[in-house]
Amino acid sequence: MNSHNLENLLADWGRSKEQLPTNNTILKNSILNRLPTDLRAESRKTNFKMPWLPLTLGSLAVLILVVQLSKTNNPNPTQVSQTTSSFSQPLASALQSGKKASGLQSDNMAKGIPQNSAESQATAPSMGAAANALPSYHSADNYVQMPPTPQEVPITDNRQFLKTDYSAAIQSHHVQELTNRVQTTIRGFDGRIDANNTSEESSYLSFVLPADKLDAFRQELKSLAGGRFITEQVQTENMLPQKRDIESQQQSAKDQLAQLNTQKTQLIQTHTQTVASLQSQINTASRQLANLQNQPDTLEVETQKQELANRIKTLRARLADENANYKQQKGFLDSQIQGAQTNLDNANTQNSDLLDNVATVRGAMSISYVSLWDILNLYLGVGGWLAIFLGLAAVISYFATRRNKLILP
Amino acid sequence: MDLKQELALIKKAQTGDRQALGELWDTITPKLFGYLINTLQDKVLAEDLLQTTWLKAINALPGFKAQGVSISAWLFAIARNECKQHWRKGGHEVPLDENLHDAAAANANQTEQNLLIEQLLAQLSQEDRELIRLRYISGLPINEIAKILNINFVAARVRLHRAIAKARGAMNS
Repeated sequence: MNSHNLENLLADWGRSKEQLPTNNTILKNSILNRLPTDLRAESRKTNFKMPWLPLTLGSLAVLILVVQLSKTNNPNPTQVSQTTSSFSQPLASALQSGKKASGLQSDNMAKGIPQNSAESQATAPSMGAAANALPSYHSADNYVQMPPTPQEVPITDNRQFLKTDYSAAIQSHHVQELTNRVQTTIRGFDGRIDANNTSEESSYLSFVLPADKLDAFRQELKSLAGGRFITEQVQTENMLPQKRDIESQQQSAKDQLAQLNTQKTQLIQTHTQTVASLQSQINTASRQLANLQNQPDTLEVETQKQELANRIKTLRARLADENANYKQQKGFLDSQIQGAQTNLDNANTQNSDLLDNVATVRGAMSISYVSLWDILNLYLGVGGWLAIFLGLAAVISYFATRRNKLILP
Repeated sequence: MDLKQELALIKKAQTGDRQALGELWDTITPKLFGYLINTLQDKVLAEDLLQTTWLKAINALPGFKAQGVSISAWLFAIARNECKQHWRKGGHEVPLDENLHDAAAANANQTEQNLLIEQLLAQLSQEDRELIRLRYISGLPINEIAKILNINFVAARVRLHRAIAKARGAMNS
């Protein structure tokens, strides 16, 4: 007997089992009589069951999403720090070494403003060395440690010579394209590119910008790369100690120059007077000797002539010594004056350089490759994924509660 | 009766339409009663549980939502649950006797083939017999059987297939 036949037999058997109870009519009527007439009202009362699990999961997902969104409203932390120059280190060199640090810490970038420079390092590893180079009192949202006061700058001197260093770490899926566009932008803002090192997965730019164009440049950069993918660091540095040092050098050089000039003038005057005196004495002795030449030669005359000749000789020797001394001293003073003038020129050059330096922004930028998955992570973060997971769990549990499950009375 | 007609009757019954409920009774009760007799092997008890099943169904009718499940499946599930409760309270499933099976069947015009089937079923496990009852007495599709037994469709189909295979094996031996 095959399977089909057996199934037919079973079907026949099943049909043969169908039967009504012997008191079918009575049973049927008793059941029908128990049927209430206002079932709809009861239906409204009993039908609705609150799906608590999906609701709870959904609420949690929404809550986490809201928290996540509020946290990531400012996803690109901009570190702004201000220091005096005596505490700063060259940022560009630090970034140069920092760019070697590769890898992606995109989750951290979306977490918000880092608390201090150490956290900044964790946030953007490509700027790690730069962050290390910065003092620990860099600004943060809540935690502000007072910077130490420079000792050599008196509080009464409130001048500001702010030198700005700008650094940015950008993550992009198209590194080379973005690098080219950033270079064009820098040049468009009258900037200059000092170094460029580009590979397929990362690039590094060192550049200089006019200080007054930094804000516009930053805006342009954000529009190019997307604010979420940039971590910026702006360090302003008051160059007042250097300025004061240069001014001190200038003043010192001026004072020294003036003093040397005075000494030189005095030397010339003294020398002139001495030479005039000696020359006068020589002239007087010469005239006396000439008068004696006209007198008859006597022993007394001869003795006087001999004395006058010796005197003239002595005076001439003194004059020669005076001239030699004068020449030597004047040469020494001239040399010192030249040195002081050089110092003054150097100080003036330093002053000019400092003022030029203040008017420019040193910039360093690293652009690193970010995969699409990491971009997604940047947008979502841990909270986002958790919210998605909870949302899915809410949907699944909702459909699980709604699935065609027989609910028995 | 197809699902649309059944749904229409349920909607009417939910509004208190006794005629609609009567039609559902007339359609479902023969199979349901046959299932209960075959399960319980006791006609009186089967009538009691039939009544209880329908009463529970009527009371829960406002909350009934078809959602792809026929009211037949729902009623069979209630009936099966009632049987379980009965056995839990002290009763037990009476094993099929190859010669002295249910009294109702004995009184009926039993064919030779039916006797053969009864003998085959007696050699199967309770679970297999339940599957075959639901499939061939109740006439339920496998997906509804799966829901009644709270297993997935594939498992129900496989189990049914195995039960039939066992029956065939018993028949051949």
